[in-house]
Amino acid sequence: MSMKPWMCIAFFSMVALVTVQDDAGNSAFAKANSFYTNGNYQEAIDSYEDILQSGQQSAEVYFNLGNAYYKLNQVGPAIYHFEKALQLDPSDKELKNNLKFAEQMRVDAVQPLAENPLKKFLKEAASSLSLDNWAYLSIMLALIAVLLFLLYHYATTTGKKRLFFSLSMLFFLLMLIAISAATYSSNFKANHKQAIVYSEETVTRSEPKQSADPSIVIHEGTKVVILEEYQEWAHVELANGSQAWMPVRDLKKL
Amino acid sequence: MKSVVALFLFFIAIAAQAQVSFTASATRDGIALNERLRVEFKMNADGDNFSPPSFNGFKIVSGPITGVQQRYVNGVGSFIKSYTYILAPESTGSKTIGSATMSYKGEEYSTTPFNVQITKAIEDPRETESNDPVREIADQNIHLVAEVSNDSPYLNEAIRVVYKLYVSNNSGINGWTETDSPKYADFWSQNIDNRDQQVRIGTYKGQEYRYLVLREAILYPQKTGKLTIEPLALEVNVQVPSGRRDFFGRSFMTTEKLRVTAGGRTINVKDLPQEGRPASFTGAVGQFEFAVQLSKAQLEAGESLMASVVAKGTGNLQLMQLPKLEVPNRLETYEPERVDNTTTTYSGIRGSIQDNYTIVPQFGGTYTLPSVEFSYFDPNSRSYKTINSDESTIQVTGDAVTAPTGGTNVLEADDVFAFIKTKTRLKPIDSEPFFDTLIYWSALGGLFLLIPIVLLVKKSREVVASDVQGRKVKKADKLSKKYLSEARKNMDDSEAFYESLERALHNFLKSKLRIPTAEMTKQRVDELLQQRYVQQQVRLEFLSLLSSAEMARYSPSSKTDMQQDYEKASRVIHQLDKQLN
Repeated sequence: MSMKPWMCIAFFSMVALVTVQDDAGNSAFAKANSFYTNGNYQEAIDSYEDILQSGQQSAEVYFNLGNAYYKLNQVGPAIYHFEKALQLDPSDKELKNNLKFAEQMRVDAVQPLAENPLKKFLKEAASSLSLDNWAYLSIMLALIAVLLFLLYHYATTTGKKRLFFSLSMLFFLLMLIAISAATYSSNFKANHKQAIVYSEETVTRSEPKQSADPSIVIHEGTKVVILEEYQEWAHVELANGSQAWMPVRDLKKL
Repeated sequence: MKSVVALFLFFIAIAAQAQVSFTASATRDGIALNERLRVEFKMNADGDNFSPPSFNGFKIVSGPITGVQQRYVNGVGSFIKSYTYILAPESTGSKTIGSATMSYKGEEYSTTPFNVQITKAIEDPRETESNDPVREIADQNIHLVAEVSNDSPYLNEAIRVVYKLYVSNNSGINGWTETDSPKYADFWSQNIDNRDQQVRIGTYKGQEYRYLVLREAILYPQKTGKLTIEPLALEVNVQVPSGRRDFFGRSFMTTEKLRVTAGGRTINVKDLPQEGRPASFTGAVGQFEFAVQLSKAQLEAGESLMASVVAKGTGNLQLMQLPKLEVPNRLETYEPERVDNTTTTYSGIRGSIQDNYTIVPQFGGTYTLPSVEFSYFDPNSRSYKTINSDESTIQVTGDAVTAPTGGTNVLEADDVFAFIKTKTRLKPIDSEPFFDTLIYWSALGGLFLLIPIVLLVKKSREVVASDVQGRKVKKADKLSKKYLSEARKNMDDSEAFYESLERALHNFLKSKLRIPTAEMTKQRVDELLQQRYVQQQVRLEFLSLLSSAEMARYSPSSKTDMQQDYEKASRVIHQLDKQLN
């Protein structure tokens, strides 16, 4: 019993600390937004970057940063930050829309490989929620499934029993799906290191050295997948399946 | 002294008496080895016995050509008899042409010897042919002149070169062929068509001439410094008097070919001033207007429009570069097409050039073509001028067209670039993902553990509940044992059985209702049980037991009755115990 007041004080002070930090971050965010609204895009970018420097982030900060870079015609940073925001909030419509605008601005038009429609559907479904949201969803579903199972147990009539049991099994199945989606996207994240080309133009090579034969020329804002890294070079794959080596410093990893 | 005066007088007398001159003349004092020399001996009297000198070191090409000219002007007659030789030198050095002699009325006359310098052969010999009279006439009467409008233009400033053929009134030409066309190295040239070849009257060096414009060209110097214009050379058919005369004394005209050139001209080209040169200057020199024009400002997505960058005016239109139009990346733009609409005029190249950009907007929206800067050098004001075209806006409406990439990157027609978000919830960057952590799995597992826990709790509560029943049964057993044990022992004796049964019932009620034994009358018990809301059946049974116990004192009962009453008592006690709690 004597522990309880202490714990209460600790909890409330933590809440207070978090809210104080939040207030500071939010005021910086509002300041950056007003810079953006007045057309001072460079100042807006600096302010948003300050928020990120202070160790805080949100999909909105990345989104606004991407917008500001877009207004300054900097394709690479714009696409990078939109993609970053998309990782935190994969379902935002405005975000996807502005990313399309930014992608139109880039030089390279990479024709994506035709994918197995089932695989594509699964991938899209798995990436429709962020990893954490999948985790929370699976716990919610598990809770519902458990409650329904208990209701089945307490039910007196056969009809009710049958109903509750099948509902419980349904939610259990949904929970399993949510968990596998989370596992999939977690694995995808781990094995699928994406990066955005930051330099205006890069000549890729067939081997990781400067004297190697030039392969393809890619431009700012193009999204690549890093297959492996060797010294200063990254082995990248484009959406159209072509692979080449390029200097790591020309890339920014997502 | 006297003798000297006498001699002098003698000479004068000779001179006065003679009045005859005999002279030798050459066209030039010095010639090249591969040229020809014309030597003429003239006497103003009709002499005889002409003997030429020995032309040592020369070969006689032709001659002697004898000529006699007799004129009467205002009653004064003049007479010239001439012998002409055309000589070709045989070696270089100084050569002397000795004196020729001729006699007149018995007198001998001789010419003075003179020297001629013969130099080395030259590349372009004059007078190789014996058309010397033609040359002489040509030198005086026919001139080919190059007139340049401006000797010291700026780089890329237009200058005009006119070639004129002047012909004096007392000679004529009939036709010419061009042997050397002028070459304008280091110039960009544009010939002006000159179809109306009309002979005009003009003056050249103060004398009246007829002239013909042969050629006109506009030149744009492409280099600074001294530039030369290579001359124009013509072979002209000249009509000259042949020296012979017809019956009426008119001289015959012969047609001779003559080569004439306009001397090369040197042009001093000035560089454009460095001072005040705008960054957008790309070499345009002249006077221009500049604009960016759109074929249409409103269109549907997928349609095409033409944006023209137009420079209009006078100057080096065909040489200069037009500034590039910066089209927004989102608009599909093709390489510009150059349209040249210029004419070469007297004052330079005039007209317009334009770059036509074909633009195909793929998606709806408002696009802005930024202003384009164009600067040029105006040689008249000797300064740079800059023109900024207006910004132009393109309104694109209508349905979106599928992107040529065929990808997922298709914008809806009403899609616009979204504004920033105004609210946010910041989170620490380095927060670990919740998924696949210990907390996550234990939370999930905990939920499923809930099922067995809840089921176990339910079961144990059921066990406890069933235990309560059992305890109650036990208690009832205990009660009947406690109260009815005596009655049970006295099963054999009817009187003792009922006595102990009655006592047991009384004791039970006493302990339950906490009443003294004195109040234990049947009516009182009935009231009490009714107050406690005991079931009527139980109450009646209890009362019937009491009355049967009373009755049994007077009339002994059978064993089966006793057995029944015992069980009844046990049941009633148990039920009362339940209901009186």
